[in-house]
Amino acid sequence: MILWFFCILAGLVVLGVPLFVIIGILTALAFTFFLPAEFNQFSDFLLLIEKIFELTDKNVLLAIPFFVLAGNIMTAGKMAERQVNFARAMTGWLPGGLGIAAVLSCMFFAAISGSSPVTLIAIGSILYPALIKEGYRANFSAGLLTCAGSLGILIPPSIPMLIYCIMVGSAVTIAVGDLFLAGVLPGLLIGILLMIYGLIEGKRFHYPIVPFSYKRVWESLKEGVWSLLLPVIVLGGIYGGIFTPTEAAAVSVVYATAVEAFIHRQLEWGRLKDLLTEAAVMVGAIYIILVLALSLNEFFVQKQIAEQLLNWIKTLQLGPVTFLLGLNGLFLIVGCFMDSLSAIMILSPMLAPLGLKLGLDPIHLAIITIVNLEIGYLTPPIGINLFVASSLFKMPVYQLFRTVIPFVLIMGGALLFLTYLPGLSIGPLNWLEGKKFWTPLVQERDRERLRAIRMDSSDSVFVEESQETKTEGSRVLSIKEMMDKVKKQKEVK
Amino acid sequence: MIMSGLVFLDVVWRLSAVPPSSFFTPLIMFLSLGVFVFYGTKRSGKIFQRMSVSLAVTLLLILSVWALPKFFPSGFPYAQRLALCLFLWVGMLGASMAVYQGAHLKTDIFTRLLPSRFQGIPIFVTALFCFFLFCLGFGYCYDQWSIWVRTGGARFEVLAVPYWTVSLAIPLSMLVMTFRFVRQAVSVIFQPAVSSV
Repeated sequence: MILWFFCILAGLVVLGVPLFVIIGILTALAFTFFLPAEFNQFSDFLLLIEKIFELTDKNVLLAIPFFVLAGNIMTAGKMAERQVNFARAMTGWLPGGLGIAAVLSCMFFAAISGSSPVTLIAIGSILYPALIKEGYRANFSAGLLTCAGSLGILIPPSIPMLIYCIMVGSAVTIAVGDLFLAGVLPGLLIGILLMIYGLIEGKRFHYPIVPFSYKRVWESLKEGVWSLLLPVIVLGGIYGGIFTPTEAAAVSVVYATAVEAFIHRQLEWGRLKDLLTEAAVMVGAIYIILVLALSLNEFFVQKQIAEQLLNWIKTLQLGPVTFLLGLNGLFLIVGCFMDSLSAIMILSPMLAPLGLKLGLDPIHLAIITIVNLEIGYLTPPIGINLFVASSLFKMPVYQLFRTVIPFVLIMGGALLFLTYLPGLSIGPLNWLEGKKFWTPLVQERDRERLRAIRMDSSDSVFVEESQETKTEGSRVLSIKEMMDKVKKQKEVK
Repeated sequence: MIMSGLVFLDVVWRLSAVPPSSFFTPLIMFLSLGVFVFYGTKRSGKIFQRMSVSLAVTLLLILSVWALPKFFPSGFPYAQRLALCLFLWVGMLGASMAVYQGAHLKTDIFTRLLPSRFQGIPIFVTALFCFFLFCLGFGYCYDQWSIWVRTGGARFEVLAVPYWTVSLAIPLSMLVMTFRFVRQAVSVIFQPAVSSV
């Protein structure tokens, strides 16, 4: 049976069927073959549609279109250029200053876009010609920008992080704000390592430097201050208790529109329609995969796949340390063959409860997953950043892959640090809670964040996000629940 | 934009309930100062114009903070729910627009190796799957509609909107996607040299 299952999967992949169809067919087949008693009629598959409709209960989901739209609006304006100017003014005096500015710009832009390819396009299109003009090696420039662009998903706000929270919601509650904050230090760590590499490169090849000027820094800061303020508003708002992550996303849309339309005056109202369409298409492509992946997730819950995996791991006598090592290996392989968002949607619902059972902090595990998949953006054959950079820098994919190898190694090193030093990700959260910054890899489950919910349950009621405000009114009822309600009403009558 | 505007208004309304001294006074002062500094340092020689812009922004903010609780005393409790319902429509229609723009994620490495005439097969499979979802979506929507007609239930309590008006997005978008994929499949199978998917 399982062999047939994989044959069908392989056939669909080879045929090049869209991912949402692959996940949908897999889900339908999984329910039909592995839960035949419950799924033997056409109407039983209404579950797939119920999953779509249930999403009208998930407030956190709203953050995805809002952040996508805000990113689109800001990319359409000249925010990226302003950030690049500021970064150049800050680091131009250092050896390899322009390379360092490239990393810094990617970090700034990552803090407003939430997407790796968007960050790469926005910064790469400006800085690649500038790097080449200043005499930087083409291989170094392309590799650095391709790699630094992938920071988009690690530095908050991050769309993959939002999707991760939604996907693991049936087993583990992770507050989006916590995950955002946990991504800051790892993002800074990888950014700093890339900057150090840029510095060494600059020293080695004696690239031209620009003398430091306070006036230039002030001028560029004045131009870029509105875009630099956005992450402060988003994170400050969330952690100041002013608004939830979803509301922060809405605020960022209004802020981006106001800044681009009235202050920078880069947003033409006629262009807004195109930006909205772009955002709707981007969100639509993610949305349909997300809902079908949630249905697949339901199958995992009903069949207790995480429990079975845990038992299997127990027979292998893997501890948390070896489990994490194996997990890194698995994600690196998966990252080569699967788009990062899809990998999160399919694998995280299985692995998050597993990590929890092994005593790992779910936020720490989430950051490990995100960093792994960030590397996945750079590994062939399905490394999206490689494809984007290939068309952007007019360089063949295989050559581009060679250029990113040193950067991938740097990121791999950072990943090891992040894996075995959980303080790097959850340290800031501990600090905010008044606990020790550095925590051991395996922890007691006394923390609020480590609440395991519905691990052994098989019902599909949604778990509310801990930081989200609950809207008034009850959650959406399923058809079965509605029928029951009608029956009860009739009985009462 | 409407969705984000609604949620934004909800945030502003909630914050306006906070005593002004704790949140809004520093915020308004900060924003006014920001606008003033920005305009003040951008172009020299137009100090009155800059001051008037800064003053207008400040007044607008104060007015909105004052007016919102007056005109909407119970706030916007439906904001996020309405935005989520709209998002279902946006997401599903976006998915159907993604067909037109070829934006759906897929692994097309192996597909390129297939003869061009066979490249219509995956598109046809996709169309079939979309039709399957259309049938399910139609059934689901019909169930909700019939419950609503019979009992007046099956509706969002906060919005007073029946469920079926929201879930209608699913069969509609799936039907559109089915047609679009069928059209693509036909054009690839019968005109392989001309079409590109």
